[in-house]
Amino acid sequence: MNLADLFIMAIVYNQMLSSAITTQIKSYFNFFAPGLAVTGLFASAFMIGREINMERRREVHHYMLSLPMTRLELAVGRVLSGGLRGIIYMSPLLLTCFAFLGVPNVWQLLLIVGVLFLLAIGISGLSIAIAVSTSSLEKFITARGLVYYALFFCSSVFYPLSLIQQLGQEGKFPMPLVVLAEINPLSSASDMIRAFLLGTPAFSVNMILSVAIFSVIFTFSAAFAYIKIIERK
Amino acid sequence: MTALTNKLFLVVERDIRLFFQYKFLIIMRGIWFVSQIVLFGLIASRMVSVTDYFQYYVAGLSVMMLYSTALFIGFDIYEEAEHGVFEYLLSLPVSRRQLVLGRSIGGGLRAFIYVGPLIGVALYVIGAVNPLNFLIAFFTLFLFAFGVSGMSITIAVIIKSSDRFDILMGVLDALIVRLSTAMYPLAIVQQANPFYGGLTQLNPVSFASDLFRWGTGLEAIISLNNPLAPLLGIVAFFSFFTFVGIIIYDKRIEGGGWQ
Amino acid sequence: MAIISIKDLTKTFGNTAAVNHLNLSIEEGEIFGLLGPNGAGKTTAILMLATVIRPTEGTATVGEYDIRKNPDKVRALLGIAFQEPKMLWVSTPWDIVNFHAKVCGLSTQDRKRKVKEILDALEMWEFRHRTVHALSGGMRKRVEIAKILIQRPKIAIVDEPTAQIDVVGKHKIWKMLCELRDQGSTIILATNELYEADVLSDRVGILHRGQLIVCDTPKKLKDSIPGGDIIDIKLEKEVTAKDIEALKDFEEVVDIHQPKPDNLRLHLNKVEEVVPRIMNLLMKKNMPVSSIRMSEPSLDDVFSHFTGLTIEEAQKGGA
Repeated sequence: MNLADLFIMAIVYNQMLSSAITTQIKSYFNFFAPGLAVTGLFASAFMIGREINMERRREVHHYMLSLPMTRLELAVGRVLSGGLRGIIYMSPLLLTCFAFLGVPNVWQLLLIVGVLFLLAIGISGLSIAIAVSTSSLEKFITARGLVYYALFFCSSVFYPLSLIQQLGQEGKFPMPLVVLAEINPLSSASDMIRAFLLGTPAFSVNMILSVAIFSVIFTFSAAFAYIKIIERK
Repeated sequence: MTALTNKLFLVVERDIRLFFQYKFLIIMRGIWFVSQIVLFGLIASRMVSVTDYFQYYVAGLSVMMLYSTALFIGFDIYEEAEHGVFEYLLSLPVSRRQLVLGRSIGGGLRAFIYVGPLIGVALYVIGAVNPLNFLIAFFTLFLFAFGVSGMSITIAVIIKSSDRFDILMGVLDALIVRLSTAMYPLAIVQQANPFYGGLTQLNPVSFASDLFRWGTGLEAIISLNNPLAPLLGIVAFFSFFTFVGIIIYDKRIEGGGWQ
Repeated sequence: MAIISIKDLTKTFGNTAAVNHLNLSIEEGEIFGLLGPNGAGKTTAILMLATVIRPTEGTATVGEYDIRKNPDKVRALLGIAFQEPKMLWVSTPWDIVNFHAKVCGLSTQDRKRKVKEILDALEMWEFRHRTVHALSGGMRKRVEIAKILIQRPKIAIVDEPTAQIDVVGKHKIWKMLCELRDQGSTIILATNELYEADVLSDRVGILHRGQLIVCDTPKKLKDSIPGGDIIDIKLEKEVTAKDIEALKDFEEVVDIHQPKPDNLRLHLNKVEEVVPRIMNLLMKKNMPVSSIRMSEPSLDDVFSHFTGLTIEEAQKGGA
């Protein structure tokens, strides 16, 4: 996912929207821009897992374990660093959003940055949890692929949540995946940015809660798993 | 002639065998393909007004998959340069022409072998095939895959820097796939932006995608009046990158100097 | 007869001449040791001969083929075992050696038998299906050597063949290289290990800063150092000045020290020729010898003699 998706794909898709959708999305370009920022954050925050998996396989983690810091500091540090990297990588995409969709007010901006940071560390945590739970590269890549694409495509990044819900109601889309899309933190983060910049969908505190819960669960599971597993042979 | 083709086959065989040892890549790409069909394709087709968009998209997805898999050979060359294997290959009793042709064919063939079953899945989803048209389209996809491999190899050995290669391939991927008819019809692209439409018309991914759809025989998704133009386009694309690759390998290639 | 003739071969990278007007001939059927510190230009010279990199100036003839004009034909004569094993982490020893054997033209029957034979001899048969990333450095080196041994090229180039390999393994590989030579291959052995070069090479060429400093048999090179051989003699009597003068009459004797009244240290050349005559003289003068110890210069001494540096100093200084 990159700016070509915004400046080419989104512009072309704008011409293809059905009349049913145009009641919800006036401009696909504007709709997609926040989603793109969130996917950028997702992809870069997820990379930490691959590095940790590689460190384990090459026993580079022995060096990390020999450093003068507690295991908790090491584990939390890795989760935070993964999240920070995600934020840094995503910031040009977010600025692009603001350039085209308008700048939010201070409180909205703080909320956006805060929620995205929580999302980033949650995603890092998820990635690390997968990385340390899989013993071989093939297993890691398979697990990563399944989680990655499920979260990516079962979300409101590319299309409105209402469309997924509608397909679910018609029986054309599995209900578990509809539920996944509804609780998906990527959906919450994208929709929150749209709520502030486009006015639709309506902002809800659940958007923040969903991301916060996701972040807490995966930050602590990752830290716990990291400590337990890297100390084992 | 036999000795010439023997060595060529050995180079091809090596590339195919190595590719299938990277199981993780194969798994990852497979998951991407399936999730694109059952998630993105399904949902996006409800969002757009194009008739039978789902089938249209699945056909284009197969070509995108073939394109990205055929590109791997360029990344392999960097992996080989990093481990010194590139120098080993240059030291073998194989001519430079055999090496570049073999790698180009190997890169394209293995992409085809890997994507073949996925094309089968795509055809099952699309639901119709015109056998004769499809054979012609299939052959052209073959040439397309070789052309993409040749392009990837040519760029890799010209640039000789893995960072710059990654960046360039990222940019090319972003532009080539999105400025093509893999995901949307040409008429829509032209309506969105005439400049984009102009570039899309000349894109080999467009040629391959349109020919694939023509091969399915499904009227709703065929956007070609005459398959000859894209067919010639792909032949030209394949010829250019294969022969440019040979010339560069012959004249320029040597070990060392990789960044 | 020279199978390789190198004329003014030069390779520059930017402003640095890695190989600087190298002139050298290598005789058919010999093991030619190419010695020098890291950065001396050994690997660059080898890669040019193997047509992997192109010379900036000069050329070489391998067999009867010019490396610039007929690189394909040159590569058909050569086999090279690189200093750093060149293998992808997903490959296995079986894949690597089998592919190499196929490319070098072995028939299917021969190939299967020989791959087993060579991997067995190098104690790698058990690990033949293990991926490279699971092999130790020494194991990867053995696989690298296996390629040459299975190919049996007319000219084998081996770059640091026993680096990272244990003592028993080293001796095995040395023995295999000698057998390769006995079967008709010419071997170019590039190495930092002085003992290895000394033991294996028929002739040694020493490179320093991209240039050939000296080239001859190890024995002649050592003999070329004035007073390089040393003998320490312990006698049962004190040695007089007159006795010392008599010893100095031998033209091979360069210098004599007397650390103790009954000990002598002689610096001389061609020790094996002159020691019997020295012993005869001491017997005639009724001076019984209680012990004698001989040492000859190493190739490091040869390098120091011609460059003014030890190999270690040359490496630190950046050859």
